This record gives sequence, structure tokens and C-alpha cells, in this order.
Amino acid sequence: MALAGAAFAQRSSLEIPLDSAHILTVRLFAGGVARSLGFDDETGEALKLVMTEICSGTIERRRDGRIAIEIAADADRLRAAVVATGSPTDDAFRDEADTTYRRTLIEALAPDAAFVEEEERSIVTFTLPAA
Amino acid sequence: MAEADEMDLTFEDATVGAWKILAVAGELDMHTSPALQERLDSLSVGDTPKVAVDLTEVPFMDSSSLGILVSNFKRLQERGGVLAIVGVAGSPQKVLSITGIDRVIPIFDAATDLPQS
Repeated sequence: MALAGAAFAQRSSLEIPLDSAHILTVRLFAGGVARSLGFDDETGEALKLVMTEICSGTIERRRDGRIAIEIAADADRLRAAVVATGSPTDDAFRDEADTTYRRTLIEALAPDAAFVEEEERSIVTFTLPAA
Repeated sequence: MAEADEMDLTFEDATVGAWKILAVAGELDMHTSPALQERLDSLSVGDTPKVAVDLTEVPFMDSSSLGILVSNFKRLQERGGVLAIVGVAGSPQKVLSITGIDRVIPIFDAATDLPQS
């Protein structure tokens, strides 16, 4: 998928509908993967928060699609990718304050996060160092 | 009395002096936070309401929940009231710290620390 170069055996993936009801599943997945790859609780919590913020932002911006998540270990870092499909929604429904807090949290925890926004899909990639 | 919402998010109301305490238990995200707004609406009544949100049993909080806390803090402040946070720790504390909201909304270790004057 989006994590080119990561050893296949070290990759874990999850796919969910574009629906806020599934964000808890994303957190359970992210926390479990971080733990299984040997990362500490602090890194696992950071991964859960960044994943939640990215998926929440995606759910606000798109509809009728899916979110595919991939996580892999790369030396002492976690590498992750979130790819979403679906139709863009109307920006007018977004809460500007929430968007600012979301961006602040993502930039603080995953400063190398890269966002690619296309008509039919969006891709976010980032890494997290071990705490 | 505790009431359950989706994904086992529960709320419990109490009164300590002039404060209405809303104890939340469970994870707060964009799916569950509308329930938090509903509960805050029901508590934010009367003149100069004092509302404290107890996050002792909240292991996770995201930016949408943070937005609700901030908007209610501003709303109550405009009416001469106040919103405070009690018992926050772990990941939710980090969210408040990173965004700087811990310097805006008053935070107390426990409900018994809330100022009664």
C-alpha cells in the first residue's frame, strides 16, 4: 500500500468504513500493533491520538468511502500511512477550532506528517519515534 | 446516577457546594463527544453556572472533545459562570498541554479542590 520499503512481515493493516463509529477500532488496532512491535506505552498512546485525529479529519472531509491504515516498524520508529477514498464533503460543515487543535496535535506528535489531498483519495504518512 | 451512552461512555452528576460536577468515564472522540455536549447543556442552566468536568476516568480525549470543553468554557464565561476540569491525567492531560488549553481552562486535581468562594 503506502508504506513502500517496509518489511512485509512487519506490516499490519486495517480497513474501516468512513464512519466515526469505527474510530475506537482504529485506536484498539494502533495500540495493539505498537505493543506487539515492542514500542512503549507512551509511543502507543501517541500513535492512537495521531491516528484518531487523522481519521476524524478524514471522516469530516469525505463520505461514502473507506479508510485503509498500515503500520510498520522501521528500526526505532513506527511508520504509518492512512489512505482514504470517498467523495469530498462540503468544507462549510467543519469546525475551525477543532481543525486548529487537530493540526496542533498532529504537528506536535508527528512533525513529519505529510498530507496528500486528491479528488478521489487522501494519503497521510508519518513516523513516530520510540519515546 | 450513572447513565450509559454509546461505546460505554458514562456520565454521573454530583453537586459539591456551588459546583455541578459531571464525571465522565470512557473515551472521548468525535463519535462520543456529542453526548458530552448534551450533558453540559443540561448542567449549564441558571445564573452564573459553575460546572466542573471530572476526567479522572477518561483515558483518551481527542481534539473534537477539546473543542467542546473550550466552547462551553467560553459560553459559561460569557454568562458570568465558569467551567473547570478535574482529575485529568495521562493522554488527555497531554492533549490539554500540547494545545495550551491547560493555561486557559482552570484545572484541579480533585473536586474537593474546587474554590467555593
